[in-house]
Parts: sequence; structure tokens; C-alpha cells
Amino acid sequence: MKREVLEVDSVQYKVGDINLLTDVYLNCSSGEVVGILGRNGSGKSTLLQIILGEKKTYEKNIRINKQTYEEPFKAEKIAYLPQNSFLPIFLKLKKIIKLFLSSLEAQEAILKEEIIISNLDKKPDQLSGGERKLIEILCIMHLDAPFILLDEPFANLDPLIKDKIVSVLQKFSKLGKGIVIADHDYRNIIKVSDKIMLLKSGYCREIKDLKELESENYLPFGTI
Amino acid sequence: MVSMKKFIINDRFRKKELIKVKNKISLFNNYYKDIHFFNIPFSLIVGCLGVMKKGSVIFEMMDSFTTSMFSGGLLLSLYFFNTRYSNQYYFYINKGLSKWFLLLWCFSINFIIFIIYVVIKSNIL
Repeated sequence: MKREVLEVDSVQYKVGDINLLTDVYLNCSSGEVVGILGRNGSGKSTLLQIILGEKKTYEKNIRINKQTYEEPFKAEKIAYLPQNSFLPIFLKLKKIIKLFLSSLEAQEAILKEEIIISNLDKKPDQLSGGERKLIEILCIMHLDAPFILLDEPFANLDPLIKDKIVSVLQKFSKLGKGIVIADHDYRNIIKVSDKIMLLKSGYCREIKDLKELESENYLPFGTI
Repeated sequence: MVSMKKFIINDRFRKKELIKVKNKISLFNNYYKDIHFFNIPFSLIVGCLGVMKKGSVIFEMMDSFTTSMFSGGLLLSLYFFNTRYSNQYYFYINKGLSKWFLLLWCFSINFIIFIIYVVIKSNIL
């Protein structure tokens, strides 16, 4: 797979008079997993939606291989997993896969997954929350987009499903996908990420030593 | 030999693009069906109410039905979809189709149906 680089630069976003994001910079390469941590309301989801190009803002610069994109999703360069389920509830999983994955190769690849095979005739609302999330992640990962943004993929899931998600992320990052994850589950984020960023007071900075998460008041002292 | 290779590569690229376009049409078709799951029954009711107006029963019904399909009925359907299933827009966004693209195409198709109906009606009357 061709090595690609996603650069997110100068992202600013205001909610009313409050500066939610002030000059955010981050980058992610093919095969790299970038974990974004931050307290509730720090702007993690907003940042991911701005990177996707779905949320408008007055200042941002999204580059993929040095080419600037105003709305990267239109070029199918970036895919996004929202916090809540996005699968059409009126369709069966086999129809969803046919619609969502246009290439036959991707359809054949996803049909090798056990969780997909056993639920092909079910609709999304007939699946458990964990199964649905895992299936959504697999669908997103099989898209052609070189970069994947995941918004709280570990939220409200049991430990076994979380482990499966971790192994899916590791598998696809090895296959060359660039993955950006925002979540509060810091243990799994630390486990899966090559680089950890902390979003605080509108800025995003890289965490070199995990102890910084305590000194930055993200984790209680003594957690690490 | 080189030009043959180029032709094969271009042909593969064209086929891939064609599959993508077909896929986007299927995706839009699915969205259109979801929106009209509410719009068609609602517009039929509006059409039935249109019968109460003076004039030809069929034309009054069709007038109200086609008008509702691209105006009130469509707006209400979009509102319900936005409030109940707004997350499903990410299904289309991940395939490169923006929310505005979907909304505009839904409106355009229904408006074209209305225009065709008006033309047919003016030819008959």
C-alpha cells in the first residue's frame, strides 16, 4: 500500500464566544494509530468531524499527501465512525454490505469475518450494541479510504468486544490504514496507539510520557 | 505493447469508476426510498384532501399530490429523518455523498416529476 500522510493544521472552532479549538495540529501516516484523549467537552468529536469535512469552520487546513482538501470525505480519502450507529435500520446486513462496499474484493474480504457471516440476515436493530459496533468498524475498515476516524469506538462495550476491536485496529493498521481514535478508554487507547495526543484548552499536544496525563489533570494521580 | 498495457490500465480504471457511480446511484436510491416511506403516504392524504376543491377530481388530486411531494411532504419527511435517523447520514457521507447533495437531488427529482405532470396536464386541457 502507498504511504500516505494526513496533516491537520490550524484548526480553529468557536462555539458562541468560546474558542473550543485554537490552532490544533496533528498528523497521521499510513499504518499509524493516533489516539486522542481529552475530557468531556474538550472538542474531540468536533475535531474529527472537522477533519472529515462534514463540520464547517472558519479556519482549517486538511492535507493528504500535501494536497489540501476542503471536504476530504467527498474524495473518499477519510471515513468516519460516529458515536452512535449509522447503519440503515431498514436493511439487512447483506444488503448493507453490498451498498456500503462497492468493490467485490472488499465484499469478499468482509464476508470472511465470522461475526458478519452469522448475522447476514439480521437488521442492525436485531444485533447487540457490541456486535453492531464491531460490524460498523469492520465495514468502515474495508472502505477504500486510507484514513479512518473513530469516535469513541470503545464506549459502552464489554471487555471481550473491546479486545476484538483492538485486534481489528491492529490488523488494519498493519495493512496500512492510518487510524485516528478519540475515546475515554485510556487503557485501550494506550494499548493500540503509536502516538497519543491530549486535547486540552483548545490545543492538541503529543504525550511523550504517560505520567503527563496525570500532570495535565486528565487522569487522577496514581493511575499510571 | 506499452499502449496495450495503458489501454488495459485505463479500462480497469474506467470499470472501477463505473462501479463507483453505480454504487452511488444505488445509495441515493436507498436514501430516496427511506425519505419517501413517509412522503408518499402523506402526499396521498394531501391529494385526497385536494379532491375537496372544485374542479376535475383526478386533476385536483394530482395537483395536491405532486405539489406536496416536492414541498410540504418532502420537508416533513426530511425533518423526521433528521430528528430520528440523523446518524444514518454518515452512511452516505462515508461514501462521498454529502447531506446537501442528497437533499437537493430528492427535491430536484420530485420537482421534475411535478413539472412533467404540469406539462402533461396543460397538453390534455
